[in-house]
Amino acid sequence: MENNSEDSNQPDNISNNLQNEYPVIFTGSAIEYFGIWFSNICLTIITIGIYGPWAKVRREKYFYTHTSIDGSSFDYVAKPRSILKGRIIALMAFGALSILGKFDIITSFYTYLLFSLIYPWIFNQSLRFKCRNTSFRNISFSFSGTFKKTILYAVVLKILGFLSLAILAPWSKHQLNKYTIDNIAFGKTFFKMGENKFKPFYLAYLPQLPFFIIAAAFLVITVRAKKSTFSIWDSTYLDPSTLIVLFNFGVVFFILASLATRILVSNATWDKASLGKIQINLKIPVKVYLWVTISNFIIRIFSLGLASPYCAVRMYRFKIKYLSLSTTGKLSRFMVNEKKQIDAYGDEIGEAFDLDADIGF
Amino acid sequence: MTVDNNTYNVIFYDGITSSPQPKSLKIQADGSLQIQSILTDKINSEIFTPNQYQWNLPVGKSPIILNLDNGGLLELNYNEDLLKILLSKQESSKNLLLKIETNFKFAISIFALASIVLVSIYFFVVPYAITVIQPLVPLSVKETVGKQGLLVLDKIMFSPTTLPIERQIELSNKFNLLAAEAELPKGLKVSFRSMGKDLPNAFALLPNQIIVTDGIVEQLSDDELFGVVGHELGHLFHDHVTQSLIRGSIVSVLTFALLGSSPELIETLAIGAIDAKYSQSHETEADLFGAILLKRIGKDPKSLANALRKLQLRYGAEGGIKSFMSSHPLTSDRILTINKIAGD
Repeated sequence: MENNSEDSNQPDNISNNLQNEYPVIFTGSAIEYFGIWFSNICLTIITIGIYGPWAKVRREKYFYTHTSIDGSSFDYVAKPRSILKGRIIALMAFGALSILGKFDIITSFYTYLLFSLIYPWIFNQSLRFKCRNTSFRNISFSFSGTFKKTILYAVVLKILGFLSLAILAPWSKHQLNKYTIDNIAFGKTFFKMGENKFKPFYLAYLPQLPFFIIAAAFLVITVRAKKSTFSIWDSTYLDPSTLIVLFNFGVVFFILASLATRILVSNATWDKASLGKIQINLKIPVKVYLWVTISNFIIRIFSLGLASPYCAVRMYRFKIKYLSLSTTGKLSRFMVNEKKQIDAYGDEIGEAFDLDADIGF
Repeated sequence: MTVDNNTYNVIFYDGITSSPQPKSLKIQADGSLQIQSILTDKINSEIFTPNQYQWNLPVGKSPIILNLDNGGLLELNYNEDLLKILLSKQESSKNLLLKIETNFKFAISIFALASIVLVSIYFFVVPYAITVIQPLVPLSVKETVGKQGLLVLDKIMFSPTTLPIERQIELSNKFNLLAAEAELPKGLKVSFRSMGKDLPNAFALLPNQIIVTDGIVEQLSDDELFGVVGHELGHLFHDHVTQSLIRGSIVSVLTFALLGSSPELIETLAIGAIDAKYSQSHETEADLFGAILLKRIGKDPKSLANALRKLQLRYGAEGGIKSFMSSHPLTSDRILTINKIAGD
């Protein structure tokens, strides 16, 4: 049994002579996944959501176990019962806030603010849960970020990015992703984000720049006029129906710009990241990604949702195609770290309110 | 890969390093696993009884993974024969799940069951829940909703009215007479606002408030205006706003229970289409209320139909996908409904 822990824990100096290429292979198919997806939905409806955690595990397991490197597949090892407990708590929180939001907007707003104070905890727990339950060759991933550091990177720097009128937003995103990646480990070996400066992150946010400028202009005009924006614009400058059409187009283009930013950030985060002597390569082409996203949306609409499994497999296969590993060493030289049980509360609450950590892939 | 019957080549991961260790696996008659290294000359096998290992049903044709109690893991490519052997020695729930995921007849059965559940929720559970919860909503909560609603509308949509004060008083008095005829439990509060470039609109806010825009006052005759206000009084009388809020809350919670997360855009559109159906039924109910109310006070119910026709001519046609997602029925259908009352 090989036990070369020194090899795997050496600080990485990835040379340019990376001899072994390991493509990431996905062997799933839409037809095969359809049965799982269909039974997941039906059983979840029949049990009014109780089967949901089992469905989630089946879904995640499908994509994980059909993804392999060097002949070994990943696995999602979360226990459905653990997810169910987390989901019940999340449902109570979501239900309470949702009902409050409908009957008392102002109290709901303050409750959301209070709730957002636990965001760093949700961020950490969600990542810990996801990592702990992702395994490869019987070794789990882990996340070792602390509450204090998460407050700094996920809250303080984010606020700074906002207050700087988004000038520092790409930099703060770079800092957050670097903090996150550098604290994820496979066994005892930590990932390390590539030697990227934050320039690729600024380039990644360029598609959204026109919208920031327009939003800033609206803000300035509204503040100066001391009136509601809608009443200024529709009574002074534009016909309301024209304004609504422009607004809808604006929303669509903003969504596309955000998707482009997301993929560019993902590339900037993961490309040239390292795990010991392994280098990760990721270069998803933006235009093709946007095409796949838009066409998937249209396909799902026209198929009334029945083509969802096809779209999910299609998108996943597309992204995996651009992911590979290069190394001078071997994938066998990683050692396990202490395994801790992580409960699912943070992960489920994070998913409920879309607050869970997003590190791109 | 099967070496011979019941013997398989597997990869063992000890859970300490990521090194793969080739081994052979034999399934014994009682379901025990006999694992033997194939790299050494020594015959050194380990036995794991059925209580000493666990396995999950493969998803599709994913690798079969056996988790051993000693922390080790066996992995081999999907093998139907091995799966059958494992299933024959394990609990029935895995067999059932496999059939549901792969057998067409089972799939149809659970689809039928799921459809029954969904239809029951839509037609029975949600409406019943609304009738139970609606009387329990305190008046103070309704007043809060109404106040906050007007606050938000004043911020984002409304400007102060430009109607002369005499006209406001005249219309308020007439609308209050209409409200008295409608036997609203708590009287009526009428507010006037300006909206955009004289956009005509009227809103009912909890618990007893109607907002009327300058545009609708200027573009409709007084009788047509009574028709529109009668329609809004219908919303207040039937407490449609409270019903919508309760329904929205139930749908949010149910959606989360079914999806496990906030809905994506496509799911939001589907929920919106279903919600539109509920809203459309409220609008029809309000139209009927308004038409009957007009008839009761000796006015022609067709004035409501005329108001709708006038607004449709001025502000454009409906139909297609927009009507599917619309909170209001097609204007032509609404006019037909109102004319039927007028003709009675």
